[in-house]
Amino acid sequence: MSDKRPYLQTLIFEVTQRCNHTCPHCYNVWHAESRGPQGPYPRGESDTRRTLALLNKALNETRCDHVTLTGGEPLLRSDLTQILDLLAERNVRVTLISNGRLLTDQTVVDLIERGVTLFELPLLSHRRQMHDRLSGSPGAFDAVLAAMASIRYHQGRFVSVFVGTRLNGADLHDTIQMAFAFGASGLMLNRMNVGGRGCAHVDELLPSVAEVRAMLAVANAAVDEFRLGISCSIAIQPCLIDIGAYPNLQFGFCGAGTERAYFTLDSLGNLRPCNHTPTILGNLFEESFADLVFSERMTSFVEAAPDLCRPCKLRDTCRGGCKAAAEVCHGSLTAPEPFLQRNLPLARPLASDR
Amino acid sequence: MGLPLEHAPRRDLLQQADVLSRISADLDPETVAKAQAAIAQDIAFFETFETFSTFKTVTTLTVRPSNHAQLHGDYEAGNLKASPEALEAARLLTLLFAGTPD
Repeated sequence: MSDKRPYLQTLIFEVTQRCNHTCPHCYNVWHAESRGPQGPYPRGESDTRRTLALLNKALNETRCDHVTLTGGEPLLRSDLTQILDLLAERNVRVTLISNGRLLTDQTVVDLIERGVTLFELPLLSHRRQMHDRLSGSPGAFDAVLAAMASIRYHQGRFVSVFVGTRLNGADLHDTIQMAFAFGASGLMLNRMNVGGRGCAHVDELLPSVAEVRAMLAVANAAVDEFRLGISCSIAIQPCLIDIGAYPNLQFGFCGAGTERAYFTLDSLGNLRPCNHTPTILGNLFEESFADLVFSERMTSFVEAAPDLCRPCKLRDTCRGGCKAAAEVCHGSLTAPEPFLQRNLPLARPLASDR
Repeated sequence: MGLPLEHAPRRDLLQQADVLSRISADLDPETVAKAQAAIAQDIAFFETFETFSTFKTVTTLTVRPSNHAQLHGDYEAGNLKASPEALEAARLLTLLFAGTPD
């Protein structure tokens, strides 16, 4: 008999909402600047016993062999090792998203031994002052570079994440070069996606179409220069930018409703379609995973797209960009998200499929 | 300590070392030293791996698995250069992968 449990490429697990950095572009949905359809996002975190029970339940009710631990800053949880031990017992591969601040040499060794196979670390500039500014925390730059060196020294792997904003776009080449020198296995180039605290910094940070194009051109050339894979996982609408002009880069679009979906669970049990949306499908402590993901609320989330995208032949691929950003900023999943909204006059018409 | 699963090619390692030396002036010296040590470690692994790969190819082509005593001789007869340490490491790795007792 076939296994009917939902398949997850990865489960994103937000172990804590606490963080020791204050990145102005942070999209975490619990920040007060976010406007979710269900009111303010629930705050807090479960204790160790309930957190482990929740993870066990999620793994029992899905086909999932990869969990991404994130936050907040996951290393602020004193019981992180217990969470990792549970995942190791369940033969689950683990990616850890961290700002690197608490990744001391001994911690790195411990995490690798406990099964963390990949670290995702931000490198927002090759300049100390800019990285620290975009992290909202002096000392962040030196800490993340030390973490990268330590991970590589202990034979771990990390990918470097560059969030492209108006402030650091010009730093991209030298930042990729620095990530390469420190041994990054790859680089994620994500244009800023508005949400959370970022809602209050749109004018200051959200890059223009021209600025994103410039970053893509630099990244595309850097793939040849450094032979480093670069992916852009925040959707870039093809009506704004011809992504085919950057063949060395990998582009991603919203995975909701596909096998690439990033279902996101917080430690209180709230399950969401992805880590950018404040939409809560329900609570996993109270309902089954299948009931939550095969629900009307999930269907509505998947099908939502801006009206202006209806005639577009790429509608089902692009989906208008990040609907979660639209939801957070404009209170509607079908509104044009901020990057699209701000650049609508530049949108070139794409052929209709009708 | 595990072996790097996605090992960077040798030219990448040399380029990394070069870039690191160029950008290190403003960086924390301890961090730079650790990054340099990590690159050196990977280069050492690569040397061994490269030797092992060559060695395995040679032995596959010329030596029956049971004839251990002849492995060194056949390897050296091919005029391939490797340090005694790398050669011994490659020999042990070959035996390990072949599942043959020494």
